[in-house]
Amino acid sequence: MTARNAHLAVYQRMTRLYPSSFRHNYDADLVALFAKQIEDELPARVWARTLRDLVISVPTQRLETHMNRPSSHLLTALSGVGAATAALLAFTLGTGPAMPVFLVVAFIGGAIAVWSWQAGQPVRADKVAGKSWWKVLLAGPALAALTFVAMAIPWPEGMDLGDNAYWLIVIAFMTSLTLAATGLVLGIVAVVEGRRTRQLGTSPT
Amino acid sequence: MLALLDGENHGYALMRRVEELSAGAVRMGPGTLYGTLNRLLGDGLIIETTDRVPREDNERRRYYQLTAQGATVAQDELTRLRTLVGRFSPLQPGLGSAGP
Repeated sequence: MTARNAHLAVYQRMTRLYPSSFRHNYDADLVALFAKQIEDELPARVWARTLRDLVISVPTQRLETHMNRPSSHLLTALSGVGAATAALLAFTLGTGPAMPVFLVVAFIGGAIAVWSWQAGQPVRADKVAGKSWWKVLLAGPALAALTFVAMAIPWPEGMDLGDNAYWLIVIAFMTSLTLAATGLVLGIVAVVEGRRTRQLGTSPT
Repeated sequence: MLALLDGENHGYALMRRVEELSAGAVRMGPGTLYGTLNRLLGDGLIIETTDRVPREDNERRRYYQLTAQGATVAQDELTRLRTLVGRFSPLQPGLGSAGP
């Protein structure tokens, strides 16, 4: 192996630090350009410049690839299908002991689906999460009220959940409490922030 | 982009052109050069012309050329830099042609 080829082999290995998409497009060009530099200049000088270049360009390319990653449609679809399947199984099993587990899986799957769908949407200035605190606050009592109604309804024989109903009620109340508490905290933060912004806007300059 | 104002060019020649235009101050490495070209391609400011132009050399090289939008952006940037130098030259003696 000639000295030139040894330099190229080392650099080729180092290009593996770049993200695969970048390497797929430019690997041959990177090595060809490095080879041309090695032919024209002192190898030590080329290596000094190339190492500096790697230190800067590898994190840059990794960050760019991360920022331009495809949207989370696959995760949304998978978790949505998983949630639907778990919910279907829960209601098919009726009063079986696995029913609460399937319901929890369905709830978590649904939450992941909603979260990943929202994460894939472009961020809009007029749709800041802090402005939706009242929806979260109202969702808690609404879920609690729904649970009370469900408890009060005399369910037909075939739809009676038996002992599993206890766990369902516990999960529903815990969720409603969490939602109400989260909404309250977000509301307080939004009110304090709003007051501070107004004070800054009206303060003499 | 300013290095592409003269016309289409390949990676190595672009690297040399940048070095020449900056009087040796900017020496791009392969990763920085192709990272920048990749970003400009993504923004539609340059296009790859490798497959459209017949080559005399046997080397497999990718050539790049400014798009109409890219040329406008490069010209605007050139104008902006000229204006900036023109404004500050009277304040800094010896800077640019407008100096005393």
